[in-house]
Amino acid sequence: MKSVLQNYEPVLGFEVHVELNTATKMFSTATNAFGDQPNSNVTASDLGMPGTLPAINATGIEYGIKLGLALNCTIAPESRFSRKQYFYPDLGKNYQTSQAEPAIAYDGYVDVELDDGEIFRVEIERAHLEEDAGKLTHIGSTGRIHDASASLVDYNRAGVPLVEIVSRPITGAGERAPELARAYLATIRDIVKALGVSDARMERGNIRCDANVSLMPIGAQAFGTRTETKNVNSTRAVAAAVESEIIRQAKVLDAGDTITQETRHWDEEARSTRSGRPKSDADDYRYFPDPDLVPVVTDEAWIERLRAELPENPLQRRHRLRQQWPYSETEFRDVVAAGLLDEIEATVSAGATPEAARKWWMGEIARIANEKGVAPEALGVTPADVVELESLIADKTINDKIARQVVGHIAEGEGRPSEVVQARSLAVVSDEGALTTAVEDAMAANPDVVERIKGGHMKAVGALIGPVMKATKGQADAGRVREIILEKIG
Amino acid sequence: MELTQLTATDMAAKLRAGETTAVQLLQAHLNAGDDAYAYVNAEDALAVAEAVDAGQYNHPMAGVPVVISDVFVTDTMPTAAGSDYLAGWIAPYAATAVSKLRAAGLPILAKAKVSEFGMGPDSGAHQAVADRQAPFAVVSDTAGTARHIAAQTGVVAVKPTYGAISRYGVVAAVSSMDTVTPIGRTTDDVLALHQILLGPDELDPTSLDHDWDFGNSTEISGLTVGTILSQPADVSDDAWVQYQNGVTALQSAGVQTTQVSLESLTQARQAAHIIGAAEFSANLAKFDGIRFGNRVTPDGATVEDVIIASRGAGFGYATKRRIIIGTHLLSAGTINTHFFPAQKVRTEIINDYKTAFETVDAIAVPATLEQGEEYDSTNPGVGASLAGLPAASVAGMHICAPTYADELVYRISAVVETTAGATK
Amino acid sequence: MVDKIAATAHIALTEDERQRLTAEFDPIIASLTVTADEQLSATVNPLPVNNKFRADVAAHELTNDQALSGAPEAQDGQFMVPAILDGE
Repeated sequence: MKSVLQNYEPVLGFEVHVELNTATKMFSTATNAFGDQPNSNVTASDLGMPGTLPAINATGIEYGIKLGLALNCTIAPESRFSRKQYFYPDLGKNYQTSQAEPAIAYDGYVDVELDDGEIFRVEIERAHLEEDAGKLTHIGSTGRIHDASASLVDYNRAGVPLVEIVSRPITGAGERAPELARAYLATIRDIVKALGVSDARMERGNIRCDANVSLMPIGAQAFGTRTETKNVNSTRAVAAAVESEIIRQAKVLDAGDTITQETRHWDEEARSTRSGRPKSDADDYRYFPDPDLVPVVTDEAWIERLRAELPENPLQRRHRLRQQWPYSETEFRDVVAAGLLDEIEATVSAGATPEAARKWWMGEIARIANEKGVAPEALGVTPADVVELESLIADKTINDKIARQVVGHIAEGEGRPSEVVQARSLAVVSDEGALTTAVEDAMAANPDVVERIKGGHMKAVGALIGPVMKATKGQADAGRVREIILEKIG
Repeated sequence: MELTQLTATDMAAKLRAGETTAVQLLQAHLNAGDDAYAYVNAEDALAVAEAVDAGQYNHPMAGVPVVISDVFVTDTMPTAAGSDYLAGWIAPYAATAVSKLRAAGLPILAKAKVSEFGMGPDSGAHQAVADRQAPFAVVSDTAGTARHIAAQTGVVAVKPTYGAISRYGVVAAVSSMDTVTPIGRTTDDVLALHQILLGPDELDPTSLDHDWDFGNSTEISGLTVGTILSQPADVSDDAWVQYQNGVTALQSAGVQTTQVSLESLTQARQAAHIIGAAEFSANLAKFDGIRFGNRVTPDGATVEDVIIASRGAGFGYATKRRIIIGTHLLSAGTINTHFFPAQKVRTEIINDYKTAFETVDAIAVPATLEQGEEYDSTNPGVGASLAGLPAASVAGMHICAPTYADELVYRISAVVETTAGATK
Repeated sequence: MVDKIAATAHIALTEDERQRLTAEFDPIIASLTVTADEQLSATVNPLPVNNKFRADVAAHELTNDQALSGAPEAQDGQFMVPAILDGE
């Protein structure tokens, strides 16, 4: 990379499609859901049947405006939908209802944090609303399009609302272009997730990124010919795709050849892009305003109401929490990477210390969640539970080890911490008589250990605590047990 | 008097008075001939008529049979819209207009033949109403077609304000002009049908949510109506005489007439053909042989070949020509030289009408023009289609009024139909 | 010209149709010129209506059987088409 970029300046551009998590589709009243029986979440309109008409989903519009505001965009006073026309079997009407000029939101920016904390501002050209296409499955020996004998079409996804976020060309990233690509996509993901307008699950295609890459000789004014790598669907892949494409293009240019303007595909296995269809700027989609739909007109009151509903910007929030919580850089980064900022912040708000909150969420809760293959926040343990556990430990009702078991029981749906403790009789044995008996039994069974303690080997106390804990099923306070042993031995 | 000779409102009155039954009305019309129909819905219509006779409907027009043109999508009858592409297709849903007729208890006697996608001079619905095979009917008027055919067949057609009646389930030709239009032998009959069909529809965002009031007034004295004074070249002598009779009738009823001419209408034909072909080409793209309709699969075909062949086999020449012209008009370059300017001419026409309606309450012109080749032709209704105005074609006169003034159009139409030429 | 547009519009023409349309095409386009005041806005919808939205509530869904009821060819609850060659 480094050597490659001695002569060239990479220029990036991203088109990110975000699937909105509205209850229904953008222009039809069919359910917007993933993974259902094919062609069951459809109305006649999604199938492009004669006489059917689109009807705009109010929530889709509001989500689009909110996303535009979160991207610091201007919201169009008046915008409308256009028909983008091309024939393809996954497109029920053989046109996609999308937006030409103006988009619902335009002229914005997003601040992207690189690994070393540097902030890189990416300008947003536009964010427009449109509809997704259906899904094709190719029947053939390999399931790939090239040797398919036939294809099956499922229109469940056809019409699902999308916001397409188009960046302006990004210069100045240099050798950090791949890192910027990853961070940009992660930033968009964090923003839509915080807004709650998308499930933001990249592995399901909720967020899909097309990455435009071109190189220009350092010092040049005009951009080089670009390629567009389609549907790169993870933050890691977008970094790899950008890097791979920069290196490939540099080789082509170094050899004195020219870059072909084309669509390329990211091959996850080969870790490289491969050529798709040639794409020219002259592709004529015959956009024209959809006469079946009327304009979307916004006013200040509406926009300000939506702006008031925006959550804190994720980057600003991270900076705030990094200040507020006494974590090391590594600890904080791990919390961010684990996606547990929300839970930890809620736990701290509920009364736990930041350290305790981190300990539980990044520790036992994450471990059990991992075992069960669910996200920690989906385990069934609430911030209030963590606070309650901490207070049960503080007042010595239970010890740390029991507390960890309680987490497991909560995850099994056995109730809140105190309910679990009571139902399972997990409270620390605080009956001095029972403890004293257990200590005496242990001393009688281990006279050699008693002798060693008497001889000054204080570490040997542990060898007596073990049997006592066993006898009390772990429900004794180890500190108190130690005190009793020392009292007995004098 | 034979039942089929009555007006629809008289049929309803007799029914309500117990002097006839819905089944008798239906049978009389079924016996009157079926040459105008693409599909006769005898069995289902009979079931509805029996239900009306059993007292299951209380709408005042319940039990009066109605015909719909075959551009209305139906879930119990086939819908072909005059196209081989759709022939035999039964939809899993019904047009809102159809649902409203059903809810009011009007037996749907038949679906009438149409030119392919309603874009031509053939209309079985007009023929059936004129020949007393049906009391009244519902059609779609695109750029004045239904009003023009009404003038030629001697029936009354009233195109409502654009959006007054839902377009959901009308096989779309030109989205921004298609208007569900009731036709009948009298203004009253058309109005009765109009009121059944009216209303906002969540399935059609261009439908209007408006408090329509049709009142009971028949008074038109004191109105000012814009007219023309000299016979245009494309208006025949007969048509001109008929028009002048209408003007005289208006004057006798106390209407002030004054000359109007709208400069921008000289470009209405071109604008309507451009916008019409463009929208038509996009609306017809969904006919691809994949989800509904008739597929043609050439040997060794890819899906691309199937789409091309299915459309090639399913569409007639006029449809293909309109799609190809429309596709061209939306293509890079042409869209800026033709399509967008046509949309601006449309604005000019709307503005001209607004200005005219500052001095006149309505505009009346001859309803029939001599027709040349399709793309050279126009009709008096095209301006009202471009501007979304309510407009009647009655007794050789075309009457339009400002948007939402549908009631006024009916009031004037009722007076004009008393002149010679109204079929009754 | 006609062949190119017919390809874009995905319409097969018979030889007769092709010849007829080739002859008619230019005169028709020539007859469809308008002169507009550039300052005017373009009219898309004849009536000035804005913001017609619907509630985000599921309705009017078809069953799988209904969805496929008019399909020329279907398999496993899906619409079936011949192979696609130009894959995206």
